[in-house]
Amino acid sequence: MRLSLGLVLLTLMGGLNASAHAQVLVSHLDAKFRWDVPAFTPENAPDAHVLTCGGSVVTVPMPATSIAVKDVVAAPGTYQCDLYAQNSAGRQAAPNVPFPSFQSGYVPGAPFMVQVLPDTPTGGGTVAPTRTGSVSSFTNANNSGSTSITIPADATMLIVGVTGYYPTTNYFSGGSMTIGGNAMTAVAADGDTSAFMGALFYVFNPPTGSQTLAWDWVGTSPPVDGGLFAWGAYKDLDTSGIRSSSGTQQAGNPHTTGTLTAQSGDLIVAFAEQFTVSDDTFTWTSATRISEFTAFDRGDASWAEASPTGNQTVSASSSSSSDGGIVAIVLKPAAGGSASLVVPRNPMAALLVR
Amino acid sequence: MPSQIQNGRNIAVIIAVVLLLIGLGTSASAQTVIAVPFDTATFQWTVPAPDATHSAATSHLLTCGTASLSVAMPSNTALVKDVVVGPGTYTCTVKAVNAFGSTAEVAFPQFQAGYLPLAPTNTQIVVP
Repeated sequence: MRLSLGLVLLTLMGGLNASAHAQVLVSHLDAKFRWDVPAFTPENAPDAHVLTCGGSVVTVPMPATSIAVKDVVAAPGTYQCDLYAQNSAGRQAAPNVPFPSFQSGYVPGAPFMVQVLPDTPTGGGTVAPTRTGSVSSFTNANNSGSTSITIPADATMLIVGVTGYYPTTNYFSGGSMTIGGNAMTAVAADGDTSAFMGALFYVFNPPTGSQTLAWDWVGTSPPVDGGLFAWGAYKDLDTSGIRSSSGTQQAGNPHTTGTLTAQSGDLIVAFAEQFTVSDDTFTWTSATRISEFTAFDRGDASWAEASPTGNQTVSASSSSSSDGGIVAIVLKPAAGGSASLVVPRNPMAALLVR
Repeated sequence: MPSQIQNGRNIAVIIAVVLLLIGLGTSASAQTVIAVPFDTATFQWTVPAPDATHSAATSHLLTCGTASLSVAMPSNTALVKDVVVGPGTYTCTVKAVNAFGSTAEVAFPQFQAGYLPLAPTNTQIVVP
């Protein structure tokens, strides 16, 4: 029995970018693997095709001859995949057929608040605040301490979340945090000693590069639980101040902020934290989870962002409902730059491999 | 046909015509076109922050019929006159673009671009 594969394509609904020598770039959520099946007889009809991308192996039963990229590989990345046909007698005699090597990624979010103005706005329009770099975390269960972090050169704001517990009101937010010696402002979610505690610290125009982040909590005792820190850097924002903030504590799910004053073009950054005896997963409402941290000393946390269209709340629920809280701040957009003319890119219709 | 039924039908026809005229009037007012000065009018849009399933845009593509302009980030404005060649009534769109693709097009309000009038000259006070 002889099985074979014909044309193998990596195709995309809505466009595919490539050049003769460049990596094929595709939308992770839209791209599809597609292939042709040569004419067959009842004796050599394939039952299925097996698609392999590194450690990911997916079997596609006949008569399907395509499958979404996102159904084969979970996350954006660079992949080399291949395919073979099989039936009850075995797999094709010929070597696996490779797809073109490709890199998948996410397309941008659609612009909003589009308008035609009679004049050029002073200083350009608004660009929503954006995170620069990823959200990082570390742990430290001491009453005071320091660590070195590297802040991206384009950052104009540093935000640090901390969670833990000590039976003193405002144990974290009443203390101090500095970056490169510059004091940071606290938003409290640690006023209630009957619930797990948290706080968010922020500063505009932080020193960039390798800097010392230092803290000193209230009193001299270390936290009873926790000591989990997370931090992120942001840019394209109004450094004159935040629009609003909220810090709340609850006995269990959901951990919900108060109503945050916000408007289109703002960015909400939220940090949820909770007591736990396991490593929990947080589910966010009205915000997108950016980072999920590994639980430390009975404390767990998650980081999220939201692009509001007006005033709103943000909430997070943990997989093990327990006492905790949530802190969020609303970043205002900065003025944008001026328009410039650039040459439009030329999308390539498809890339075929025989 | 009984006269009562005939009268009822006439009333129904009159009501339908009135509703149609009201509808046409509403439609016309909904199509109000923004009038802007051609030389200074500006497209502006807001760029959302990247999230878990959307990456940052590298540019935005403005399209007005067959005319288009790519605006590199971080700019989020463009002069109307950089996209269209002259005064007129336009329906334009913008979409975000990065290496992995682009979004659906988002429509700007329809607008009419025109030239401002010239300032009057030879101003004077005439004594009759």
